[in-house]
Amino acid sequence: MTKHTFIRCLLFFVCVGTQLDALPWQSDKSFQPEDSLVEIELTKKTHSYQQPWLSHNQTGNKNGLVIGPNQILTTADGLRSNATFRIRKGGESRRYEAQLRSIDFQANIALLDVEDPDFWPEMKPVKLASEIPQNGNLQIYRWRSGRIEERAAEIVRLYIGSAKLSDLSHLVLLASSEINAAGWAEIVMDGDRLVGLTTSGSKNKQLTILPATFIAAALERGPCSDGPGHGFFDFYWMRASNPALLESKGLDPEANEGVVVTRARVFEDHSNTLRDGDVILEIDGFPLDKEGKYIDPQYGRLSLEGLSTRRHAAGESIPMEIWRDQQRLQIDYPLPRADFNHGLIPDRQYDVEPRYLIAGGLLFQPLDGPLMRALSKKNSGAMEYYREMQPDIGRPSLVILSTVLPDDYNLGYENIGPLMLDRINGQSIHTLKDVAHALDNPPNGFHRIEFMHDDTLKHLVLDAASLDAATERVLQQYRIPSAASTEL
Amino acid sequence: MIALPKTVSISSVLRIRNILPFLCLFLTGILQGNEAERAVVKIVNFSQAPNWQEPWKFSQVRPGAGSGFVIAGNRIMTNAHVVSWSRQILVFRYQDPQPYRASIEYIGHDCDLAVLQVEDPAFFEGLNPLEIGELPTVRSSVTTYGYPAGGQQISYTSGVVSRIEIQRYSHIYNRSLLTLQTDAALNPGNSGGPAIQDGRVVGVSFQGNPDLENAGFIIPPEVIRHFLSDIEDGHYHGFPDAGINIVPLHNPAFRAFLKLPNGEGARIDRIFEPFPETQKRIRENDVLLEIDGATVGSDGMILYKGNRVQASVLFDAAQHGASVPIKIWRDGAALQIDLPVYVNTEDRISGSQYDTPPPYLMIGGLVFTELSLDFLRSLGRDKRNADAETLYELFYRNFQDEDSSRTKPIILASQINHPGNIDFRVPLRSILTALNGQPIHSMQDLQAALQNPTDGFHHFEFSNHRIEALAEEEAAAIDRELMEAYQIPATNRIHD
Repeated sequence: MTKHTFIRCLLFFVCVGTQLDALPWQSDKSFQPEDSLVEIELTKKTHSYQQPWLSHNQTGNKNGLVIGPNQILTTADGLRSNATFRIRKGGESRRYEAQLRSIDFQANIALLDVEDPDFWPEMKPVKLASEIPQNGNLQIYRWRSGRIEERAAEIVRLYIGSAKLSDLSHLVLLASSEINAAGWAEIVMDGDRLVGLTTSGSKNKQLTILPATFIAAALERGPCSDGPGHGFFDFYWMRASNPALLESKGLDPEANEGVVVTRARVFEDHSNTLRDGDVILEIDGFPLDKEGKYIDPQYGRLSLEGLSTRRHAAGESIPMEIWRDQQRLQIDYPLPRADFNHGLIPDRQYDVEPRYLIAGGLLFQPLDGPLMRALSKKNSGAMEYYREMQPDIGRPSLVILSTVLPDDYNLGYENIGPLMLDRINGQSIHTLKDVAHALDNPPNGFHRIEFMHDDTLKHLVLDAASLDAATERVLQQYRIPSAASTEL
Repeated sequence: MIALPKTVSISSVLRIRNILPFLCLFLTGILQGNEAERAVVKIVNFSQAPNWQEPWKFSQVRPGAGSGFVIAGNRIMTNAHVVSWSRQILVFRYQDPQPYRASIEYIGHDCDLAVLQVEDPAFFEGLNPLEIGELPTVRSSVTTYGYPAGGQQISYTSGVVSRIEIQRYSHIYNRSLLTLQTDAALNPGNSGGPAIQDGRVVGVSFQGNPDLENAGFIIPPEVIRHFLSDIEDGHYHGFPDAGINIVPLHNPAFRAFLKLPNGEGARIDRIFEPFPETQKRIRENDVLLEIDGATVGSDGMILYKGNRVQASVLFDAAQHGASVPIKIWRDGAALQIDLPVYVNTEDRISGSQYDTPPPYLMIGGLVFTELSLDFLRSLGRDKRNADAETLYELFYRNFQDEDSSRTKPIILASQINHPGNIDFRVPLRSILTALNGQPIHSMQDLQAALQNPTDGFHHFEFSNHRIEALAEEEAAAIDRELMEAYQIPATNRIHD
């Protein structure tokens, strides 16, 4: 080798080495994913909403991360309290039984534990990042076929979005990556710190990531710690961008401030300090611009909705400055607790087996989002309207006659349903217990069922004396184990 | 029964003298058969339908072709949909290239029928009008005449009457009347042409169903006669309705609950709004035993000229304002009632609308109009993909009470952008619930509320809880500018 050749080779290796050091996807070697990342196998019981007495097994895999002693963090998506869990670590074939310690469907997080002491010795907890990077590159890890898969991810942006499983508003990180079929709690790292867990992936190679800062807050205030729960803004608002609207309220049309409250109470029946038509100027000390954005000290311009989860838990009061009746007012807004049972037709239900009651072949079910999605095109236009608009119709919830299991007893009613119940034997029906109670009290030998005035049928009558015998016959004929779900 | 042959040798008929009376009848039929095609005309309609989102506009002129036939009184009968929204109608005689100007004399959109008159009396020279026959029987043969797409000459197709029952009339969408179904091929352009049996018209071809094979639909003589009888007083009213929802009553317990002695009768489940005369006379859970002497079965059907069809066919047979004798069962006893039936015009927004362009009112470049099925369709949407509130307002709101049934939801149809309204932040198609504090249930309400701004601003409230405002004087100035810039003839068009 000549001197020149040697120098050229030296220069080459120096250059390559420099380039490798600068490569964005190279991970921080202080973090060893196999020491902290685990694979979760779960088997859960799921139910059919159209035949709610039936159940079947479903299995799935997702990722978990050790974040402390006896604490494996994952997302709640796809989990059930009644599931069985097994954990694999380090690419080994051995599986450890795990227990679900807590689950928070609102925030989409869960904690698992492994009681077997053999599991823990080599495991190293990972710390959660205290601040989410706003640009640059991250690393994504998951187990695949007993080996760690590592992918690069580029941060796209931070924004305030809705939670995957609820309507909570919180910070969401959007990143792009070549990783396929992600969204099952793959861990997203910045060096040795957890930046977040993936919650969904899309065909355009974008990932939504539940940020570690929100995870940390949710672990403190949510069901994982028996905390007060997560809060939400129970009001609708609109941008105050129309100068005429501001002027009509006595505000300076040129000032870039405030949003208009269009519905001060949506779900909660609490004493609300806001009123329709108020202009919210500040929330929690942050001035709002007319597009409903505030300047977050860490993350810049974000939607006001994020202030409902940024640093307050349900039940706390958030100071607001509002404009009402030509004057500025300071009010305290009591932050309502997020609850899946909100609304006339609750849109989501988790960890709840479908409830039902069969009487004489008539299947009664509480009306909620999962049931409507199962019934799909059978839903009446009135049902769809109530789900979308959640109007106040003077009742807290609805029960439907979802279908009829044909029997001599219910001859002539085979093709009716789904229909929303109004009254049975004169009693207003809001719950399945109301149905059961009303059927215990037939006034004159007949059960008289009335449906909501805007549904497609209004009246139905059944014989009272032969109801129980018919129910028994139907249960046998259709091999249904019980006439009602367990809570009845 | 077999359709008459198109051509028959007269000489061969005359040799058979001993069966002359029968042959005369046969010959009459043959001659009528030949006459029939001469009475069938081709219709070309140059139409302009309104723009439902910018209601002062109309579509470009579109030519459309259909068929018709000459009836008594120098009239041409055709389908309403053949001549709807017409700007000019031309009719062509059989094998005659001469176009003749025609105009609509009467049109019935609910039954999809119209009669035309032709300015030039020479048009009818040498034409014998076709007679309207009787309801054909199921399995009997019919021949359709018309000028369908695919050629210039008259076309004939034959088939049998496969079914007779109540069907939805798609031209109006929210009405169902008696219909003949046939397996004779019916294609675009056949519309308005006659279906002929024994030389008489037994139907007017009018619609198909893309989901079915070998199924075309024909308006039967009962509906044709009702239409012709209706217009005798110089005004077309339409087909009346009793305003009741008749449902089957098979369940033995329900029948026992109602103390019914036998297996007849169907239940009245609901009384629709607004039918005040029906509300006075009928109750929910009354059992309909007879209509005009016909027994109603527990399935809600009657035997009608040999066919089981929905009992409502007998309400359809009455004219607007007439009373129909019915027998009902209530509180364990039979009652005889004369039930007045009326044409319901309050549900027009849930059906297709014609003849009158949509109402509108513009405020500061915001264009408000009635929510209607036509508006929904103008968005390229139908029931399957419309949002829930729109469907509810169109099809369910009138289940509530009389006031609701008379309510016509007003929506923000379009926004013509102007620097003065560019920041008006309400999504299009939002339903306006109040203006200047006044509830809005009709275009008239909107017009009245517009006159009463309280503080120099127009205040808008929408069903999605959006609120907005426009300065009164600025709104008027915006409208003046926009009218000039976009050739808008007026700020509003509001019908009485």
